[in-house]
Amino acid sequence: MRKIALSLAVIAASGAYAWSEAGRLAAEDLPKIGGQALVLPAISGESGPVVPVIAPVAAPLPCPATDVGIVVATAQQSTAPMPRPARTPAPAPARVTLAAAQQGQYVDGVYKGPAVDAHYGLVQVQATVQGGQLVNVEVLQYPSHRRTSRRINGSALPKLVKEAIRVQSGQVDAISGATLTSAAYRRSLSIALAKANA
Amino acid sequence: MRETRIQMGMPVTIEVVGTEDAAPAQAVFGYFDAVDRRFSTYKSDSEISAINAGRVRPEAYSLAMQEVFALAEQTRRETDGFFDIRRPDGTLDPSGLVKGWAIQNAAALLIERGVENFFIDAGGDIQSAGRNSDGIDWRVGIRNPFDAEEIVKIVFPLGHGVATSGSYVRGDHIYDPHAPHEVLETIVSLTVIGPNVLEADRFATAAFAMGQAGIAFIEHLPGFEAYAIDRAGIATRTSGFDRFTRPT
Repeated sequence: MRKIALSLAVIAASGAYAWSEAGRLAAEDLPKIGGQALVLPAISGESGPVVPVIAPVAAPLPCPATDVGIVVATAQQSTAPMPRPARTPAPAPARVTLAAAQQGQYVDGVYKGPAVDAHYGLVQVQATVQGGQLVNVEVLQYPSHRRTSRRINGSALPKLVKEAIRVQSGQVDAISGATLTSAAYRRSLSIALAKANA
Repeated sequence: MRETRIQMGMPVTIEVVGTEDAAPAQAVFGYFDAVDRRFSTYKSDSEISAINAGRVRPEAYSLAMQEVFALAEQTRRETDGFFDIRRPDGTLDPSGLVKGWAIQNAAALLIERGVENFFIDAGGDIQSAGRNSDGIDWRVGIRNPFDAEEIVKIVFPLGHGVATSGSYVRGDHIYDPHAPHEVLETIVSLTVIGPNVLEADRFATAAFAMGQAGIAFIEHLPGFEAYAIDRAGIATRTSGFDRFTRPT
C-alpha cells in the first residue's frame, strides 16, 4: 500500500513538472524533498547566459581530453554514516503528496514510477528511500524529441539529484572547500602575519 | 616536489611531479606574492587599496587591474548581478575573482616551463594537469563544511578547474548584492567544476550568492558541474557531476 502511495506521489510530482508553464514554477507546485522546494531561478533568455571564451594574458591552458565514455567505477566511496548536524524542521508541505515520505514510514529501496504521458512526451522518475525517508529523485525519462518540450525542460524539469553527505575515507591529493570559519581564519592569519612582520 | 606556503592569506600548495627542482614552484610563489601586493585589501599600500582610497585615476590602473575589473564586469553581467565586486559601502573587492585568475595564470606559467603533471591549490581553488606521482588522475576531496577534518566527496577533475565557495561571516565578500543585509545560510558549500579554475571560481562565487537557486544556475550553464551542500547536510549535484566522480 505504501509502495503504491509513493508511486502515486511520484507520478503527481512528475505531472506537476510536465504541466508547468515554460519558465518558473510556483514554489507551492513543487514537491518537497527533504523539506526543501526545488526552485529554479529566472534565466535571462531561453537558452541561459552565454558562457564567454576567456583569453587570459598568459598562454591558455590546453583543453583536457574530454572522454565522456562510460567508465567502470573503481573508486571506493564509503557509505559510513556520519554524525548529522541538527536538521531544520520541515515546513508544512502545500501538497499532501510527499508529506508521508518525510515521516519515515516508507520501506527502503529504489522505486521506479511508470512512464507517464505528460502531453509533451513521457516522464518517468525513480525515487530512492533510505532510512524511511525520500532521499533522491532521479528523472529516467523526460520529453526530449520535440522542440517545445526541450524548451520546457530547459527551464522547468529539474535533473538535480540529492543525497545526504557521507564521510569518505579514500586518499586524495588536494582538498577543496570552505569551512564555516574560513573568513575568520583568513582575517586572523592576516593579522598574525602582520604582527610577525612588525 | 611539493611545497605549501601561506600566501594571499591562505595556504597555497604546489606539487610538480617527477622532479625535486623547486624553481618552477618558486616562480609561482613569487607570482602570487606580486598578486597579493597588488590586490590585497588588507594591505594599505596595495594598488586596490589606493584605488579604493581615491588615489589612482582610472587611466593609471595597471594592466592586471584593468584585466581583473573587465572580467569582474563581464561576470556581473553574466550572473545578473549576483557577482559584483562593489561592496555596499562603494569600495571594490575583487578577491572573489583574483584567486582563480591568479591560479590560472600560475598554471600557464608552469606549462610554459614545460611542466606537464602538477596541481596548484590556493585556498581550496585547484587547477591540476596530467597525473599525480603514482601515475593516476589527480584526486580532489570536497571538505565537509561541518568538520574541516573530513571529506564528503572525492572528485577527479581530469584537467578541469575546481573552486568551492562557502559560508562566510557577514561582512566578508560573499553576500547577495541584491539584498546585502540578508545572511545567506541555506547553502553552506558550493563546489564548481569548470573548464578551468578561473571559470570555476567566478561562477562559484556568483552561484553561491544565489543561495538555493545557485545549483540550478550551474545546471543550465554548459560545461560546468556543481555540488552544493546545505545546512542540513543534504547535497545537490548537477546532472553531469558524476562524470567527475570516477577516474579514467
